[in-house]
Amino acid sequence: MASRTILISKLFGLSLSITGIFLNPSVVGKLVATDGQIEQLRFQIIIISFEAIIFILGISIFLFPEFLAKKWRSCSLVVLGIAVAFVVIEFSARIFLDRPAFGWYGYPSGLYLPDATRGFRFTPNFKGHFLNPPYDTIPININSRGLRDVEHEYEKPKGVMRILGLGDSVMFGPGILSEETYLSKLEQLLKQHEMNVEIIKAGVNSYSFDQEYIYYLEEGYRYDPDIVIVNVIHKDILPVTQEKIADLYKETTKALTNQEEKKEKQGSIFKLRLECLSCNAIYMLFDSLFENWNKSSLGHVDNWTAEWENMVNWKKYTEKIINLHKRLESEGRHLVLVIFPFTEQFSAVNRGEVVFQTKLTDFGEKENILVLDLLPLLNVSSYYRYYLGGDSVHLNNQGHRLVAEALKTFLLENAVFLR
Amino acid sequence: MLFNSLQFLIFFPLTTLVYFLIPHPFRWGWLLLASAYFYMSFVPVYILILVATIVIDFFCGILIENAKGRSRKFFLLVSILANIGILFFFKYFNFFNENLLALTNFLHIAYDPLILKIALPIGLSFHVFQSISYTIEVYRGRQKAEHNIGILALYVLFYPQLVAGPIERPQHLIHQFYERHKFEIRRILSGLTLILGGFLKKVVIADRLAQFVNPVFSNTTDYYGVSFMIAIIFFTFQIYCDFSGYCDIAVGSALVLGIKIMQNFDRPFFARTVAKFWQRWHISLSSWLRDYLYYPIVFFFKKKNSFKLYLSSLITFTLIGLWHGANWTFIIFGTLQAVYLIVGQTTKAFRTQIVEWLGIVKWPKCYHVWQSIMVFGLFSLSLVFFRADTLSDVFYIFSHIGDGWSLFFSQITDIQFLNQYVFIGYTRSEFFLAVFSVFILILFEFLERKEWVRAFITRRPVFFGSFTFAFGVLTLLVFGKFSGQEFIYFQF
Repeated sequence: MASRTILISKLFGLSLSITGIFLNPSVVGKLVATDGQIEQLRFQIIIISFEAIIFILGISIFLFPEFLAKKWRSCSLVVLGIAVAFVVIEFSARIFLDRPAFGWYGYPSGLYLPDATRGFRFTPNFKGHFLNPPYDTIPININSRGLRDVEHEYEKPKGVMRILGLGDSVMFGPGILSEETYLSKLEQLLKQHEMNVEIIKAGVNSYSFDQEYIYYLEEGYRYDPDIVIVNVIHKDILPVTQEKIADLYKETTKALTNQEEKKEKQGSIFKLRLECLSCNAIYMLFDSLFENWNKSSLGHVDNWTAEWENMVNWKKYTEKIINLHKRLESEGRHLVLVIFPFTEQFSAVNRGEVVFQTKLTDFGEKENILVLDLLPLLNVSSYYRYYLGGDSVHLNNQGHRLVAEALKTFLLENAVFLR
Repeated sequence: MLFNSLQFLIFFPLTTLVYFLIPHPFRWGWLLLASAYFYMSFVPVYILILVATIVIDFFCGILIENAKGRSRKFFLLVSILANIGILFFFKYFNFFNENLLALTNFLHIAYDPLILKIALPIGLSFHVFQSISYTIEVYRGRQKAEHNIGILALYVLFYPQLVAGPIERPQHLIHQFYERHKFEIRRILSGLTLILGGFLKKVVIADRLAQFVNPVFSNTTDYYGVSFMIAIIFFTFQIYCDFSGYCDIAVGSALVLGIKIMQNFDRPFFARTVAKFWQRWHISLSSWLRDYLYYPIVFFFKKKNSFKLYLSSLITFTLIGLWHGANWTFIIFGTLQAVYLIVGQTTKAFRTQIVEWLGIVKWPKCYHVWQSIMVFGLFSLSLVFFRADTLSDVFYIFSHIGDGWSLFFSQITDIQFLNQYVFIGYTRSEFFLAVFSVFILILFEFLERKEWVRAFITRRPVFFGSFTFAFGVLTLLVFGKFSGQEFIYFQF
């Protein structure tokens, strides 16, 4: 009987060590990852650590089977204790933790058309939804003039003040309803203020300042706006060259001919995180630990600060803003720049890495351009309440509402409507 | 290196493993090396300050032991002045100068103060006090002068209690460095359980409560009375969990190595008088000041009376406040403890009469709970001085603590109001988790009145032990706030 138990222990140890060998990143990748492999170093380290633990445990049991043969009841109770603890923790997590919202929104195919001067633009009259949960119930409706907005005639109705918003995805509002974007909210707030205002929301995903400027020259001016709000984010400093436009044109053409839905495949890790809240919390912890380790070992490199400190970039960028400002002035319109921070900046603010905001506000003061810096507004300890889950740039509906209120106050305080 | 950092997760097992692998004669050297590395991971150059105090105390210790008569006192004074001088220079010089400037301005005397632009070495107050206790104990003959400078250096630098205590005594710690400590599974598990408990207090409770406390104390004008009340209560538990969590990790880390260091807390929120509270809160500091300051002052007065005893308490507690930081807020915090104590003593007979008249003594348990709540409330209010950045913030909080309560009761169902002033911008579940974790803490401490929970667990079947340990680790991973927040007492 005793020799039989020892034999079973040995076999168990052997199978455990073999399992350990086979549970390497490559096999685990094939089992759980979306694209069949695990590339991120952090997951490879975690899997290899588990692999080593299982292997060492298996070999130890194989070499010293008497221990398991004698103490198998105690060992089973230890394993059972751990399993019960996990169940209790998952139960507690479901009571105390909020269900996470994360993942890429996913844009439907056919949303973009190639454009010779801007690289791409929205397809007029497009109707669709964001692709990935939990955003997949939110519609994307493009109007006949290629904007995520209600229909607007070019001719401005009498007695109406028009604001034109130029911007990228932050203005477009991924993951939220069109009515929840900050320009829509601003329109509602100003109307509550008994102001006859109409806002044209010309935010296009991935646009940079150059493409926004071209849009204004080609089409934006036709709306005859009184105020032009330019949504500025960190990447606007990079110039969009003719070559880049040509590449974007080609990419969009190719994507259009493919017509393949780029819906995100949800791997097992993703599904596990959605279903098991304690697993997601542990995942998030490891993710942030690795992130911090990366920052501390490599040093926090804010590439954007370097780009904004690059004199060539800065000169080109400011020249373009001055040109737009002069043009708008000559047309009797006002320019307002609204600077959106990115969340990585919040930890860096104390170290003085706010070059991007400081430079632009100083420039605005010098050139008499109105600049609203949103960093102080959004850099609060509970900033995550205003951002979409796992996103460092795009705001949720609460964030858009906050920005709309700040923008309304800013416009009224600076008497932009009376100028 | 913070205890709650990834580096410590590598440092601790590595140090422990090598410690047990190398022969006994080399172990103290290894611990000294590891401790020096631990300290130098903050500001490397500041190790020179410690080296200076160690060298001075080493020679002073030997000279005190060998000298006779008044020269013994002279060498003791040299050691105390050197240690206090360093502490004064780094911690109190600017504070002293700023106040001197205010005084000279008031008297219309021209004074150009010298303000030093230096950072306070981490944990300076702790190791200065620990160093002083060495020479005093040698002077009093309770500890032999250490002839191995490495061991004395390890006594000051021993990494588990280097930056935030407990402030150890030489006769308790030094001999343990000479003893051979075996690799005992039971003791190591006990140490690891203490470490786990310390991490749970710090990362799950203290850092969670800090989320609600920090915004209120940073922007006092944005909040109402209900927010102040929540922040004050939460801060009391935060500082307790933060500091006692640190001490548990320190005691546990030392225990794994086989070295026993003193406990710094003994369920202070169950104390029924302020005097008892201070016998249970930051025990190593309060006992240090009792032995080396309070008793000498009391003995200094040849004819003792209540006034002189109260004066001794006032001086001791004011210095406890000043020890915490060079700011009037800390001084008032300390003085307030003495005021509580003195008022408590002087009104004792009167209060006893009232209690008897009300008949509360018939329900002793209810009376004890009431007394503990009163001590908790008094201590929490004094902590406003401890936590606020300036005295004007303190006055703002106290003058507005009664504001907005009618608004609170009328808008208790308004989620926007609750979000802003009760949940302080966090989610409702996060707030309830904070409250729940405090409740669990109180429950644990209540259960520990008869027996340590650790001892109770070890007597249960293996299933119970593995469940508890796994549950603790998983709680830490799932509900912990790993934002790398420093321990509050590191700044002292």
